[in-house]
Amino acid sequence: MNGFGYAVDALAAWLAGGEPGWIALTIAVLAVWVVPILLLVFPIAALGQILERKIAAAIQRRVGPSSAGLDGPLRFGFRVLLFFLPRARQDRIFAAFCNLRPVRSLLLVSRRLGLGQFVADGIKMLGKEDIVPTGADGIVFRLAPYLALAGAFLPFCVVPFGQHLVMLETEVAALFAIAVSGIVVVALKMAGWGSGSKWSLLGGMRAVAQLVSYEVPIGLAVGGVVLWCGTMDLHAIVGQQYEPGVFSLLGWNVVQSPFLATLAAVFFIAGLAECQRSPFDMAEAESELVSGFNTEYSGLRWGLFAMAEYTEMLLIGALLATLFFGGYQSPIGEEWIVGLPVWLEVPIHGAILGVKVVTVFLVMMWIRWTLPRFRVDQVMRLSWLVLVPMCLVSMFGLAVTLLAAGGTHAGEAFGRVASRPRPDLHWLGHLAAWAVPVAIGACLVVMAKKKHGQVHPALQRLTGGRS
Amino acid sequence: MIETFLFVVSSLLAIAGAIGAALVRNLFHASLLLGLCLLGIAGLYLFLEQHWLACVQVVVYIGGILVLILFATLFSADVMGAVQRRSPALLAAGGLAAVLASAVVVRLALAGRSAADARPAGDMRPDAFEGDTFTVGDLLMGDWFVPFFAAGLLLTVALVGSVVIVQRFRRPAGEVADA
Repeated sequence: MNGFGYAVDALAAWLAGGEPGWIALTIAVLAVWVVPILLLVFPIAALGQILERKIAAAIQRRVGPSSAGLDGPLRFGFRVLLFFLPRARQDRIFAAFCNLRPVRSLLLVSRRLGLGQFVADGIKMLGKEDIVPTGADGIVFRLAPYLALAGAFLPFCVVPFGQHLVMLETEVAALFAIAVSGIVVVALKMAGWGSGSKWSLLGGMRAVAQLVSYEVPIGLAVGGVVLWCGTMDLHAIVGQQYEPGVFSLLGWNVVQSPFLATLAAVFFIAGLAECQRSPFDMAEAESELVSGFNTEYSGLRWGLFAMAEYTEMLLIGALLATLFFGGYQSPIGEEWIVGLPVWLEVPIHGAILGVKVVTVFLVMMWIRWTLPRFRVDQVMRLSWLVLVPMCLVSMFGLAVTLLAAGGTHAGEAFGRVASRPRPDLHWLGHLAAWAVPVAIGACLVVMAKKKHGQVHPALQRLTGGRS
Repeated sequence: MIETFLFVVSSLLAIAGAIGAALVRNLFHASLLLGLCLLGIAGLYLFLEQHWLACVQVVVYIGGILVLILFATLFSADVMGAVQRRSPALLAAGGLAAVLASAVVVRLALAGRSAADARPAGDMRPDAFEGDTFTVGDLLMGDWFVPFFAAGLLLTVALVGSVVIVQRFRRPAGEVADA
């Protein structure tokens, strides 16, 4: 682990005016990472809730939040900014500002979009009574939401947001991400058990069984990428997906091989399950379990669980983008960004990663409001009988592809010397990497059809009995 | 400075977690304290510059073993009541196991110490082993190939076996689902 990243080192050196001590380092870490994360991810997670309500409304032909605009927050901002004036003066200035034509129309739009709803929700959440049930196990009950949030946030340490923007550069980054997100499992178990309620206990058991089951396909999918890239360093994996020229899209892992595309799909589905998102939300089934492991939680602690869920959605999006979709690299050529000065390069790369993450976020919401909930047995079957075998076959296929590609040349990827660049194939080779597995798969399907007069019955049964 | 502080924190976590896990009567709390101990040990691995080992420690022992223990705890009787009786026989057996285990650990520590003494002064690393993934991979594919392969085979068999067990509870193959 080579320090805390470029920005932190620079800031710490500037603060200390030389070799930074640990106080300067700590301040720099706080300034560069913790504060921005608090300032950015929390509102993003809160906005995610608004987005979710609006999307849900659109899918269900409702309007959704449509009254709470940004007037309130704006008024609060004026009060804070103009604290030295008497209240009546503040209000007069605020009213004058709101009467400006563009401001008025913008406020109207914000009201229509319900943009202020998350502020109202947040205040409501903070104001709720903080209940610890009588039968609850005090410490365990209180600790669980914080652990869940920590488990959701910690993996962000190793996600590269830009060329110089990685909190923790380590060669075991992918493993680190998987490892620390395992803390969520323990947290959910603590929440389920500590609540002292049968609903919570059942919900917690379901949640943990599901999380443990889906960690296997997630681990195997990440393992496939690691096999392909020859490194566990997420930044190096991003670097390896670099492709010179305008069509930098073609360098992304997801288009390298059908097996990697499969793994991307598996990672997304398993990620959905890791976030306990519908259709995998049977651990939070409000109709059966009165909402599961968080039944007994209220107020801020409940909010922390919700925040952890949204953070985890962002995390799955970020990891999916990093592992399969070129990370922070743009799909239309990368050279024009790399050459820019750091203060321009960092936000552009960050925004590109952000767009990818938000896309995943939106697809997750779309799925949530479209599909019904899976049953427990269906969830387990999907993991063990569909995703895990798909992962194993894909990993085998990737290994064979790597063997067939043979010669890899030692080059440098993206300013960092990658441990092993992805196979440098002729375009025919790339074509073959797709054509051969697809042809073999098609042959298998055709043979099965000939033999059984239909697709293999196992395939039909996998989809869940009679459905 | 900060390293020393973090080292002390990790060590305290490990020690306090272990002692707590042994003394606390509530099974669930004991398992959680064991998790704390395992986390502390992962932290200690970081100070040995074994990042890979630290991550694997968290994945295997916290993500795997601890969750398994928690599951077993939840399935065991009277977990909510949570006061386990201590019988003298169990205490004696536990004490014996503890003494034996400590003897092994002390023996290993002494061996490591003499190895460290043999090395030139200033080399504080307990055993010169590069913790990077390539060395680990080389070792697994070289010196430790057979155990590694055996473990992999065992896990694959377990994985396939679980799938087969699930398959057995299906309806007979002839009965094809309509729709």
